[in-house]
Order: sequence, then structure tokens, then C-alpha cells
Amino acid sequence: MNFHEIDKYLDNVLDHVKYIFDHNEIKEELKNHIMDKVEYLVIEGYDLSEAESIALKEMGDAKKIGKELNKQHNPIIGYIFSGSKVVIALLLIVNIFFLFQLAISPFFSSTIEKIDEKDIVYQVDINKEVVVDDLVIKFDELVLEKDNKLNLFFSQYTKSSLKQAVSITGFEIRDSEKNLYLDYFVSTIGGIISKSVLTIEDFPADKAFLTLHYEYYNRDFTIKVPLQEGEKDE
Amino acid sequence: MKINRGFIAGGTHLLLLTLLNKEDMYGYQIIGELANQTDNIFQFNEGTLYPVLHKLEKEGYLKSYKLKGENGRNRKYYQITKKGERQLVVEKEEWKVFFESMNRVVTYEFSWNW
Repeated sequence: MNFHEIDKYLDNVLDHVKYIFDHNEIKEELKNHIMDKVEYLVIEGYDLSEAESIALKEMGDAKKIGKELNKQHNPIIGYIFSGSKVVIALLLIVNIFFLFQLAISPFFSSTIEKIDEKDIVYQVDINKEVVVDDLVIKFDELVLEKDNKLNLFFSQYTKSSLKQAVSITGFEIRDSEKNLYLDYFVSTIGGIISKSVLTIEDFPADKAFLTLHYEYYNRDFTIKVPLQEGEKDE
Repeated sequence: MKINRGFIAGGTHLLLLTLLNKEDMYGYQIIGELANQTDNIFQFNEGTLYPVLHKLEKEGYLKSYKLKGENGRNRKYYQITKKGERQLVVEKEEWKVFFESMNRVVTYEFSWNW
């Protein structure tokens, strides 16, 4: 099914909402409404593309709705009235600072530091790509070092323009015994394709595999990586 | 007869607060409920419902929470607050006064014409 028209409509609405931190929330709510309507119309006997255009027509003018929503999603009032948004605003400031540092960093286009061959216990090629909305994440490889540091190398880039700088965090990482690893840190080097390495300290060398799980709204993926030397994931 | 109007026009606060005073509902459900109760007399631009809901939420008359629906989609439910309940009483009273005054004039006009 192709809901291109619906996405275009939602983008038109959101173009007028300046406060981007509410975009996902608004988009989800409006999209669910449209999808409910489309489902209803299909049950009523319309074909899908008819249902889609009727649903959109009955939503009303995207620009008008966007402008009205914009009045209700004012950043200043949002910051004052919503504690969580204050936190997000602070995070944004930290992020901007971080991006600024990246921009002036001499390492701007370099890659993440390679691990010395002699420190490697095992290395597993992953070569898997997942797409979450416009964000493409490519998991490159896993390297276990002799001091039990497990490093996951991955890169991210957005398919759309640089309208929104997105990056993904919040993987759930478990080993073959389902132990959850919460203590990890991620270092990222920017550019259009950002390179990241996620490091878990004190990772036991005897685990059979690792799963990476991500879930946010209705987006999710799970990747299972075997952890034996020489063994490759297909 | 069809009355074509958007949710942005006045008077909708009262409708929404009244509906949500009975039960928590999500946007699409509100549209359905309004259509049912009014025999589809209003032709809504459905999307214009959301700025009004968000406004009522921002002003503290409503709050919202999410539940996963049977189709796996997240539903954003709106619930009336104590402040909303008090506002509903005020707006109902205003509406009653407005309606009765209007009615007196119109009915008088009618009976005079008769």
C-alpha cells in the first residue's frame, strides 16, 4: 500500500508548525485519524485510492490546520508549561553545542579510531541495514577487545534533506542469556553520514550471540548477531 | 439541511467538553460521536478538530493519554479535567442564556408573522 498522498498531506500540515518537538506527536495523531477513516471507507466499499483522497479532503485544508496547530504549539509557552519540554530544550542546547564542537573539530571527516589488531579477541561483520522513518542505520561490525570492551560500529544517515537532524538512540542490548546491558556509551563523528561506536565495558567473552532491539511508537527492529570468532551472520 | 462549519468557529468548546464529560475519547471517535448525535447535520473539516483539542489541553480543560488500539495504532485519548468540568458548567449556562434570549426574539417574530 502506498500512502504517499497522506504523508505529503501531513508534511504540508507540519510545515506550518514551527515547534518541531511536537511534530511526531501531531503526525501520529493525524495519521491515525486518516488511517481510521480510510479503513472505514474501504469497508464501505471504496477502493483504497478513493478512500485516501476522500479522507484527506474531509480533513480539510492542510495549511489552515497547520497554522491553527502552530498557535497551540508555541515553543515559549511550551517550555514554560511542560517540564518535559524544558528537558528537551536543554538537550537541544547540549546537542547544538555538541554539533558546534563537531563542526570545528579537525576530525570532522575522519573515521572512528580503529582498534589495534593485537587487542582484538574476535570480530564479527554484521553488514545489516535498518530504516526507521527517514533514518538509515547500518550496523557494520562488532569487535571484542582483550580488556572485554565490546564495540559496535554503526553509521547513520537521513534519506531526506537536512531539515531535521535525527539520530537514533535507545537500543536494548541483550546477550544470549538475555542479560540486559544498560551501561554503554556511544561516540559519534558527524558529517552527512555519521559514524558511531557503541561500547559496552566488561562484556563476557563466552556469550553466543547479541540482540539489538529498538522500539519506539510503531517502529521497531531486532538484529541478532552471533558472537563466535570467524562466524558470520548471513 | 447541512450546516458547514469548522471546529475553529466558536461554540465547539461546549460540544467537546460535553462529549468528553461522558467518556474519554480520541479524535476520530469524537467525530463519529458528533455525526451520530447530530444526524450528520454538521459537515466538519475533521482536521480542524485537533487544534481545538490541543488548545483545550493547553489551557488545562483536557488532558490526554495514549492507549494502543485494537489495530495496533496508538490512540490519543482526551479526558476532561476538574478545571474542564467547571468550564463546562459556565459555558452551558452561557449557552442556555444565549439560546433562551434568541428563542424569545425568534419565537416572537414567528408568532407575529403568523
